[in-house]
Amino acid sequence: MNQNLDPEYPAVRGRRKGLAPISPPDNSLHGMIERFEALHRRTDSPVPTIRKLPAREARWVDFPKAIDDRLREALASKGIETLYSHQAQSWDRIASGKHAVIVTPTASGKTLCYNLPVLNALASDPSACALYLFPTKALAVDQLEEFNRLGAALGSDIRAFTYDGDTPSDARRAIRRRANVVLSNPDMLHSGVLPHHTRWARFFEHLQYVIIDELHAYRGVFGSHLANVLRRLKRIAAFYGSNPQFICCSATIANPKELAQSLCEEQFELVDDNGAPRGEKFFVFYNPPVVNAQLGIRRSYVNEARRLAESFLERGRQTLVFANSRLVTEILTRYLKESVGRPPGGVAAVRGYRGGYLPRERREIERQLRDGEVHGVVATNALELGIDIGSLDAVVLAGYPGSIASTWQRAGRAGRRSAASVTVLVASSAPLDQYVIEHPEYFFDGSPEHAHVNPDNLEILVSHLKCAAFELPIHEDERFGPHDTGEMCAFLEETGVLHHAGGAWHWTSEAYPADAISLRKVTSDNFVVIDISGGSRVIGEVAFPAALTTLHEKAIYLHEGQLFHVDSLDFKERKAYVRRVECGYYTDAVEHTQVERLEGFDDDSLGASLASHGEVRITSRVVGFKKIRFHTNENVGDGKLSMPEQEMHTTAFWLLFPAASLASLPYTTTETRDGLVGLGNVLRTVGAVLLMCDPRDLGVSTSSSKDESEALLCPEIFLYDNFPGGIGQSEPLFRMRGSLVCMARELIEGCRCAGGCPRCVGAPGEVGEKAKDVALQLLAALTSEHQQQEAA
Amino acid sequence: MRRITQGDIDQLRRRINVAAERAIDNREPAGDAAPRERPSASSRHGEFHLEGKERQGSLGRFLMQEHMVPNDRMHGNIRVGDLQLIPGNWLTNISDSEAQPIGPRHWAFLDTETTGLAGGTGTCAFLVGVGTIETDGFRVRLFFMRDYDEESAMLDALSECLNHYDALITYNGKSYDVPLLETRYRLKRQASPMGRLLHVDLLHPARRIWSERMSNCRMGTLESEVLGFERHDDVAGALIPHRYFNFLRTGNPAGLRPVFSHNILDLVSLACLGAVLMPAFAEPGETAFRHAEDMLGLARWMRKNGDREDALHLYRKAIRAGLPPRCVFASIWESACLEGQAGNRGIQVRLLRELSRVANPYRASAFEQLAKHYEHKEKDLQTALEMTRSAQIHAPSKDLDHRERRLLRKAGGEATPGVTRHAGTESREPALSRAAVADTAS
Repeated sequence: MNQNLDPEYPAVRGRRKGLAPISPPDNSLHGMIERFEALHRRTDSPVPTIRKLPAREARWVDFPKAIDDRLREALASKGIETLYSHQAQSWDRIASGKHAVIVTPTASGKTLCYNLPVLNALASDPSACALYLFPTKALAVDQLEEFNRLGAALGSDIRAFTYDGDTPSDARRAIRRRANVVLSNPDMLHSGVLPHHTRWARFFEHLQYVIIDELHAYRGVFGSHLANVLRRLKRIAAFYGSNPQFICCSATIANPKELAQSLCEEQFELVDDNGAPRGEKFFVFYNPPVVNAQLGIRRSYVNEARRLAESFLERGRQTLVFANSRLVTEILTRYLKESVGRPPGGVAAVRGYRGGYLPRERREIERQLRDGEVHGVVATNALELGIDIGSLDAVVLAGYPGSIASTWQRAGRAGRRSAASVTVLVASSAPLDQYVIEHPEYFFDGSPEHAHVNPDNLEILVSHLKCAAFELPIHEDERFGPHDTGEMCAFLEETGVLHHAGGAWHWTSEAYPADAISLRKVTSDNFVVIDISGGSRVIGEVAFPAALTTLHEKAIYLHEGQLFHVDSLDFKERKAYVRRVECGYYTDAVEHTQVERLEGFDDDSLGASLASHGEVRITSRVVGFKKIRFHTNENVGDGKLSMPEQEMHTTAFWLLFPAASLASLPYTTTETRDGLVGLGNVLRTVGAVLLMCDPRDLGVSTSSSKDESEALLCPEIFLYDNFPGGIGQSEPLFRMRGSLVCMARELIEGCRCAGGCPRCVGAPGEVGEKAKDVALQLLAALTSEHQQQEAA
Repeated sequence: MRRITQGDIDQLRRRINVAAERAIDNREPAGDAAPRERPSASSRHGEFHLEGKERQGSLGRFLMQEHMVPNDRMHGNIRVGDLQLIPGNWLTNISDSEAQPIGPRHWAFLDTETTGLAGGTGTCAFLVGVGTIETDGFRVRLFFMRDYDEESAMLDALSECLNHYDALITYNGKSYDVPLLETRYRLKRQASPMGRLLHVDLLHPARRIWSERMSNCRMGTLESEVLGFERHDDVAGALIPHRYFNFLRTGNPAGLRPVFSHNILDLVSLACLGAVLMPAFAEPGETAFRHAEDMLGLARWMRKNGDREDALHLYRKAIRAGLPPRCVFASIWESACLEGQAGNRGIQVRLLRELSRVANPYRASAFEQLAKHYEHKEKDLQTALEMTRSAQIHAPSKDLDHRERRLLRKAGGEATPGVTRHAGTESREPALSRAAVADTAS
């Protein structure tokens, strides 16, 4: 009898927990479901919501007649004799020459949707070529295996290769000469392929299909860049006389067709009627019980997530735990390893998985998951993307992943075709988590997030126009996407990089423009982690910004739950030397961020405030760290650090509130400050909508220094471009400031919550009780006078 | 969809200007240099004069300059007229080609000046120089595009010119000039003339000969060190793209004249370098090289080509001529291997013994080779074992352990563990005698 699940009866300490061998999928999960249901019926239940998604039968369709006989036989030899209805629908759309976007859940056979037309083309024309784009190198490797499995069955001489930063230079030449199918990523296309297109002449001449998988990954600035890279791709393809067809695949987002159309600038047909079978699926909301009602303290969600994961593992159910940070991932890995130990076979039954593990180790974990050698994995969102790990019985979400789309995506990892599966969302005490738990309809009935891109962001557009000119001279009457290029080219001539001659603009600079443009925020600047416990061995890599918070001296670095003490950080050589330790605590870095105005480009009064846009400096610095004891989370010490300051120059839009304008408000200093933070949150949400960018592309910060009398001194709200150098979002925000404040007001007024919620100013736990009122007062002051001005 | 307007561009311009003003290097504001009106190439060149003849072809116009370097001109220590005397098979030899000999009258030396080193389709060859060997001297033709709209005509004329020749000789052309020109032809949808020609890139033979002696094998370095030619007022390669861009914007060719001279000198030096490299390879026994390192380079090249006799001869010659120590040991080791392959066991063993006496990078390998020799050729297991153990002292390895065990097994009870090792004797041995080694086979 397992009492573990019942929060009223904490796990018996010291009991050696058994680990059942992995069982084939069956209905034994129903025992767990019944326990959840029993809990659900209690008053003040920790399980406020259980949703059951009914099982669904497969809908099969015969192979379309037009499919080449050899391909049909090859697929039959792999056990594929009929298609799911959505696969057949995709085939029909693509065969009729339409661009298609396919939206079906994980493990519904979506890769066959695009592999089928490509293989069919290759069956009849061995010179045909296709380009596959994935957001990560790992996915390309994964899909190459899948493609080759089918290609080999076809028996013909199909040559498919990955082509990315890991491709050895001696292999590149052969790939350029011979490949039919190239699996790459947008970054490589941007800086490694298009600027050298003459070497790819054969490939571009025969390019029939461009496949963009994981379309939902291309939001915000990354998507805006990709859209421009695709403009360049189409331009080069046209030079070689080809006009490729686009096939996109996406996880569930609100607007897949719109996203595909804005990225590719073509008309798309949507295929979203999933014909794959699905077993019964349960979605359980779990809120850790309150242990101190006065202080509103709940049990640690990390411990609760661990207990739930243990219950699944003890029943022999393969389980995936998602955590929202690297640190929590490692801590959970450690806890679960401690409690379940190793099975008789010797392989670790539980493993961690996150970015920063070496690729070889990640491939091994993926394979062990597929083969059932590993019972449980604790992962960050690194496993959210479509890497093939098979389907699991249970997913435990340690904390709300932050967006509806991402939650469904992670939950999709649980789902057997015939047996039941469970996803449990364990809420943390963060305001957003508590809000979702209390408002299940927000998640279950709400639309997933929209993915927005703005390919016409002027700075991004102009950067890619430079690359385009480098690739081929731009003709006077040529358009780039929907744009006339004349004005922009004339501008680029002024800056000296283009030159007009013979009716076209030519690249006249020694520079290689693609090198100056990174499609994503991540830099390639990595720290390697070297274990010097015995000899010296590279165990991982950490991206630059994260290294500052996780690899400072005296930090405890976790890797697969193992603790390492950072002995020294060689900043110049980008190396951290770590040693295995056992010490009972982990560390958490303390970081300070500040925004400083550098130069205003323009300003104007907006009601009682002053609106401006210009350049700012964002300074952040790791100033110290806390030592936190495992299990109890007690703070057992801290340390000061003098880490180098990280500076980012970027552009910002800001509102300055004169002290006098706040003095008249009937609120305390703290309430006013909370109101400003709340207003900042709303302005960011609305700003992202107006700019059609991802909210994460905009940073928000409020300054609120106080004088001796504790009154606020001219506080400011900054919305800044969250990219070094800025990407031109601030000037449009300044221009649209009227709409910005009006929409912010509508958003708050239209929100039915009482005292603020994550949908508007933020949850009361985060911004205080009065934030909604204060924000509305501030907005009223901004909008009324603004309207008067416009009227006058 | 929002259109890009003049207002947007103004905004962008303002931001960039603000950023530029704050930038540390106070360059001229970008806007000033740019002419808003766009004069055509010919009108712009009206006020300035650039030497050369305008050529008109079916694809338009471009500029061509011709120069003749007379036969009696000395380029450093090479007489230009001597270029004509190089036998045709020397070129095919050096290129490892099976082709029929091609006489010097059918060679085209080629060098380009480009708009950058970044590579990719946005880099352009604005000047292509072709040098050819004729009765009256070394003839240089410079194909120059005065603006981007002359590129097609220039490339077309270059094609036409190269069609009269059978071999293309460059310096680093395999990885730079030729792929770059092929890209340009492809972008202009013109057929590239390059594929038909036998291409000999002299960078590779030059590296073989001179990499021991020179810090780099740049054309400028070899020109002064090998040809004994010094340039004066030469334009730095890094400034060349900038000079061309400046010409495009202003039409003033003053900055370009040194670029033209630079290209002409590169071509003459290239041809003269060929006149040094080709005979060395064709008649290594007769080589005029005076530097021991150069002889060593040539020896290695011969060795790689399987020309054992010439290689051994050059190794001995190089050692005698006075190699620096690091090269001496390498030379002895390499000749020992060659002697072994030639079946000269006695000489091989003497060379290996020399190497085994003093500390040097090849010592352990020498012991190991000696062990093999005593085991297999002399059937002297005791000495083989001693040599194996000495090798182990300097560079222990699994292979050596394995060899030791096998020798002990083969020897049965004959050998006892822990016999003489040769390691401790080094410092008391007399220093290696160069003459002794060099004379081993003479």
